[in-house]
Amino acid sequence: MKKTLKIAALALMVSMTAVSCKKKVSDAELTTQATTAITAYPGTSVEVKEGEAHLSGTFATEADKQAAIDALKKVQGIKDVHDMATVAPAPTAAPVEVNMVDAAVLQKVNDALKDIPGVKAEDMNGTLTLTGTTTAANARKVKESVDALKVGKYDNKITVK
Amino acid sequence: MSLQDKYASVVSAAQSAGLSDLSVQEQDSVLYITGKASSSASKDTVWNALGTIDPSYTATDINIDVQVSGLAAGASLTVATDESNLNIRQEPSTEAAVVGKAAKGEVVTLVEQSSDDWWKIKTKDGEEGYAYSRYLKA
Repeated sequence: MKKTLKIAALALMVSMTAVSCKKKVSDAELTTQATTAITAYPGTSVEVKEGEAHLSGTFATEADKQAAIDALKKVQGIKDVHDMATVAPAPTAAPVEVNMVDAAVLQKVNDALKDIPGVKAEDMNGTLTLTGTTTAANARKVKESVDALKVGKYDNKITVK
Repeated sequence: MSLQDKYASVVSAAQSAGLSDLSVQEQDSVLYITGKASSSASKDTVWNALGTIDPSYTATDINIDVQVSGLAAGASLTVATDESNLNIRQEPSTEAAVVGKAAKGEVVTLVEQSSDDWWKIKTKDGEEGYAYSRYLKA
């Protein structure tokens, strides 16, 4: 019985030593390991202070940032990760090119209306204005043609009967 | 409700229609859906989706610019006029002389897609010229 206790005490001591060994990993060393863990993300950096990682810099996406945080949490000895990093704004798409209503555009609209009796197009102070009465099928043809010209917001006063 | 929400079914129709260069963008209170279709059927899918939301096709807060493009020369096209014959013209303009006619339902051959609205075609009788693309189904 005494022997068992002795072994247990020894085991406890060994495990405590092991724990204290872990604690001996310096912040500098942890910083090196942490930096290696996030090399895939340029423009970012990490510093470990008292076993806590401080992540900073700019990530391309939120998913990248989360992946980096997860990678840091897996580094042995890092107790916590402080997220001080940002995510770059998503690139904005090029604006839609909108055409001015001019004679050429109006000509194309009139070509489109040629076979659609009862519908008229006018340039009202730079805004294309459609008026008249027609069927839904014809109104669709008109819209298909006019939308293809991309004249921005136009005034569609067509009445569908 | 944003325009993207209002026209969500049109956007999803565009996404599943297999369009190339598809872009969906809201700008100055207009939702622009732009893309290239490889057939008239996939273009129609998008427009049919609009029809369920706007049965009169008069909405101006959505701009659908989906063109059938990239067709190879020699492709077969079906004339889809309402009733009348399709005019084949010397130049891509409604002012140009009519050099031939194609009946509704007739199959013609594409020479080239000169622009979005005028395509150069050839009939089986050898008449060649420009026709308004609205009346040609690919």
